[in-house]
Amino acid sequence: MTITFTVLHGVLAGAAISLMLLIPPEPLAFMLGVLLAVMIEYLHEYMGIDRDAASMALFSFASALAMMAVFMTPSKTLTSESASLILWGSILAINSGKLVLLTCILVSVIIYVLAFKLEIKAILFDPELAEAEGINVKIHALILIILIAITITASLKLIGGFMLFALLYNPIILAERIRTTQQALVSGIIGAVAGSMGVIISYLLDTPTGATVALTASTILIIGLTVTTIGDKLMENKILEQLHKHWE
Amino acid sequence: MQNRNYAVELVNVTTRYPRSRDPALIDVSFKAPKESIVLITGPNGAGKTTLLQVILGFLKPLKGRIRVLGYDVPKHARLVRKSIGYLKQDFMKPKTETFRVREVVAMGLAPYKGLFQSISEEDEKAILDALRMVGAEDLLEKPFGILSGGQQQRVMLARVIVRKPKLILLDEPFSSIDKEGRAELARLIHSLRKKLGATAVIVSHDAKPLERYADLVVELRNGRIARVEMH
Repeated sequence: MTITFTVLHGVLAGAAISLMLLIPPEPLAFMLGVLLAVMIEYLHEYMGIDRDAASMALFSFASALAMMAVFMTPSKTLTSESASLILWGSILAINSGKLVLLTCILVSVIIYVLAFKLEIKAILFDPELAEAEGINVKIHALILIILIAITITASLKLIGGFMLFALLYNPIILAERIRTTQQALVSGIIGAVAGSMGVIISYLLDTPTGATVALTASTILIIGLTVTTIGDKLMENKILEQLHKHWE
Repeated sequence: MQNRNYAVELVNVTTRYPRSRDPALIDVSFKAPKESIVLITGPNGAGKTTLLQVILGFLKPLKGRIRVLGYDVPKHARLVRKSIGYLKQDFMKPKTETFRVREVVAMGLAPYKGLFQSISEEDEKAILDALRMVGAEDLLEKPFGILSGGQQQRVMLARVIVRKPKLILLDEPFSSIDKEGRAELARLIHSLRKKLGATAVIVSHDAKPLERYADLVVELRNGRIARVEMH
């Protein structure tokens, strides 16, 4: 999770620097996101630094870069639509080109997961054991990082940098809570539902897209946590009832 | 030229962990004949697990030569690992682990599958057979995380078996099981040697369960070979 967090801040830093240089944000955002993730792995593999610690150090670096870029950006640019898009997102960022790009990314992710389903499961279960059994864990880690960076970069103008956290983390939290064996699939579905619902609501109510998506994702999470907590309690009571009957 | 008589050959191997000043193994030499059971024993910190890391190619030697199944390691480590079945010392997973036992054992077959290939019916049968060999066939659909330490270990052993490895590496396999279980495990390792034609290298600070089956006993102390005994 912390790698994704750092990649996102790398993407934001790249976008901020692009804004300062008055160039399209996507290329530099993508490169910086991937670079930071590769640096986390390098620091962990070759210098023995804990991944979380490396992530936090590079997150600070990326945040500082972004702040510095914002500081050095002319105020005219800062108040422009492009700056607003990067931070808060907008439904107007969707065009046919973006739709095609997002669809291609979705298809790429699905193909990758289906092609390497067993290997991905083995790496998720125990990466050291997967490596010992002959799986090239480093290559898969690199592919996943690149896919994460591409997805974040492509979604940046639609959802906004600050709101993307809700789509990155809320679905995973809820999927873990549901205790399904298909966590990856379930979290993907939750994310897709939250994202779609958020965009539709934002269009209907004419509200900021990023904030609406984030609020939708948060609402789904709160409802999901409440339902699963009540479900756990009911299951507990049912078990106690059955035990009580058995003792009688 | 490959020596086809030995599954593992270490010749004057010295190695250390990255960023560590002290060598973890010093001038270690031994040869494990094919289809033998080799017991690596010694006190805590002697270098037993380090030896397995070297065989797997995770640690590069500062000097010396390592050959596993006829290939130089770590140069050909990734190739060799596909013929190895490995049981780690720290295999346990927390209660939140939701992968089913069937999936965990199936993961052992991942390196042999091509793109888009799933587990076949034949593989499902092999998974069930492997679980049966370790007495864990009734755990097939249970989440791995809710199993006890001993049960988790049996499942991980099934994952080793399903790979039909030529070399089996077990790191402290007796630590999570009771006395009766240890004798049973030792018999299982002995039978695997015959069934799979595999060589087994077992790291254990407790030599007793394997004494009657081990063909070679290597004792390590402070990273050096203290004793080598052929049976």
